[in-house]
Amino acid sequence: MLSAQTIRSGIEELKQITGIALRVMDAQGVTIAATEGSQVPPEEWLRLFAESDLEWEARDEYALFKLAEGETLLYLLCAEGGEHKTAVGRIALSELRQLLLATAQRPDKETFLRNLIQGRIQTPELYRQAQKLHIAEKGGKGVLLIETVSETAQIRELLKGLFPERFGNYLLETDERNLALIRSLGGGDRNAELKDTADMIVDMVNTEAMANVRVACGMAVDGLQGLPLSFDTARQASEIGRIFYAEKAVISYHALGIGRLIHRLPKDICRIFVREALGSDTLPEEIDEEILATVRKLLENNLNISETARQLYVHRNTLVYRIEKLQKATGLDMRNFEDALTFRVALLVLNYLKYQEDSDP
Amino acid sequence: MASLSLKNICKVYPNGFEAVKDFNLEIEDKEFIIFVGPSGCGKSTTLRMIAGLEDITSGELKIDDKVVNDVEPKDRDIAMVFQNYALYPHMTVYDNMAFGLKLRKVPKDKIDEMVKNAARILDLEKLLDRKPKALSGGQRQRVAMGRAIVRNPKVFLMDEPLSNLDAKLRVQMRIEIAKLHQNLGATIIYVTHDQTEAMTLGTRIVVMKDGVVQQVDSPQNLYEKPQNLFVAGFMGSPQMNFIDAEIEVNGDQVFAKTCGLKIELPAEKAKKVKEGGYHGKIVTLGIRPEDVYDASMAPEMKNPFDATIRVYELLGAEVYLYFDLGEFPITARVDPRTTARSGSKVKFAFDVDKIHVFDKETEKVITN
Repeated sequence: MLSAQTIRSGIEELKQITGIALRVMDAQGVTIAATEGSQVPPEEWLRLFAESDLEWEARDEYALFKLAEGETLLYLLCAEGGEHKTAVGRIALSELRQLLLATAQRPDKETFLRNLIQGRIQTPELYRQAQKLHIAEKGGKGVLLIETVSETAQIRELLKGLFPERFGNYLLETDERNLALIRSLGGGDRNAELKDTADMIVDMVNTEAMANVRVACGMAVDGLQGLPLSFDTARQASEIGRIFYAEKAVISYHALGIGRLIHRLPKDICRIFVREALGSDTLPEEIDEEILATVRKLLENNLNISETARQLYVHRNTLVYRIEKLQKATGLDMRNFEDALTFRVALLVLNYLKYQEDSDP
Repeated sequence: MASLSLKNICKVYPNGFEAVKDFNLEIEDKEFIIFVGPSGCGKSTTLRMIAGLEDITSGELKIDDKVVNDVEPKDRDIAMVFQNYALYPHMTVYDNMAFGLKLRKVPKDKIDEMVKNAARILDLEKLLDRKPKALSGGQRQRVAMGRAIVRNPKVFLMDEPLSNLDAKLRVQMRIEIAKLHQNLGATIIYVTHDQTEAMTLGTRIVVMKDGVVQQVDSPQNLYEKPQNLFVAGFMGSPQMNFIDAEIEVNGDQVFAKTCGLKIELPAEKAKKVKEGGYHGKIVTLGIRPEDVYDASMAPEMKNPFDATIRVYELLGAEVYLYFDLGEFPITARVDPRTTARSGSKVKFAFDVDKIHVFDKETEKVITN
């Protein structure tokens, strides 16, 4: 497979020459690289085209193309705007083919490492290729997943400067918005070192690139063969962090708290638990944002009503009224530790279910 | 440089966590504003909202009278210095300072001018060709500052920039930052949890707790006229002593009774306590360690009382004496010539003119 940066530089050059906007997507229609001004083609049409036998199709402003290897669809390409979109699309397709061919013939660190962290390379092959590419096989390593909200070019540049390859660090683009950093680690507390690196990345990207990032730390591992595990745990940390700890810019696989447990639960079990805890599949209507804010503060203050009332600037009786309103709607009394715990877990489970529903197609 | 206006700023995360609640502040051009408070109080979140690194849930943020809620960070004309800085290991000091400008495609001659100017301000001119490994900790920190200065921003935002330095270097860099503020005439917003840093650097300090602004004031006013128990306890090291006392009003005289002591409050304080209707109620008295005297060295002090010293701590220019008054632990900061030692029985006295009185329930100040 080609790196997003390789694809991007190829299509950017064509865009500059022809003025036609280009977008390259994977077989599922997820954008890998796009030129400025490119729009996402209509989703339904894209899906139908991907499933069809057609090699290319033009409609309205768009021309769509497929690039396959045998039976496997590798990329979808979209050329947009102008009467020459079809011709330019074909040129871009041809260029992508050439790049793929060149990549297949040339051993390339980035492709090797991308395949390695995704578990696509078996152990004997791993050592053979690592030696050929002069990549150190031994020593502590860990994967950091860096999610950006803006384009990655500047951030990539910055991180390459901070983590040069000659110190055993490798930066990979996993898609248009995400980067993976394989970090070489010292002999101390390796997970703490990964976390410190993640904190530094956030601060440096904030201050130097003036952009926001979230960083997920995987498990620190020994040797190259451990990297798939580190990458997988970083992905888990990233997802669990997004659901349960949205306010944190750095999330570590080693500090996922109760989110780790809930994330493992089957959805059916979660639904049964919510029904049992709240008496319905969702939060009862009576429980508005004000009551939820009150509950959060009460939990923060270890169920201390006076302290919570003081911090919320409300009278103690107002707080008690809100607690009783919640009790009436759910049967749970927040003054009671077990009920408070049940409600807290129910809120987390509801968060998880909502995330699952939103991400289901 | 620039002025800033924050009106009713709130930050609520998607999971419902309210990090900042109804934050209001007007910042004048060239001010050095400090956000201070314990971990999790919302100070960094507020700074990140100003930077544009966090969305503002509600409220209005203006820089130089222009609403910037939806303006990208890079277009806000700000520069930031954060805690976990790093230098590019294989680049020289010059390149380290120039890198951010190169990323933003600033012309080469302009970069050269800006880097050399920043190097001059920070006294880094002779080090421009050095690599980071050949720099001391303080020099590295100055390079990190230089990366912000080269941007020539309207506002500097600093989030605990000295936290990773050792104590000696922190003091040295504190002075450097104060000098920098004078030299640049810049508007600086500085986040710290260290109240000493806050007191020494800020022209005004914003004390925060649980996402709520507790008090905005000059360092001196925060120290001398805290508006609530939290501010009183947070500002000052060692922290203010707190003692619960029952109020007794007798005509115009007001007494605070605690642990066998009957302290008559000065007329002005007495008037406020009396007017507040505190007769018979329990209040919290606050007294700074430097206002607790070894009575043998201050015979003019009234109402001396006996106490047994638990710990004697000599700091050179002063001595801390720790003892208990009933159930309340007290710290006294006294002259090093005191003869008091651990285990000895000593007569102490409070300077009643300096006593603060707080409502025990609301924790708000009754009189300072």
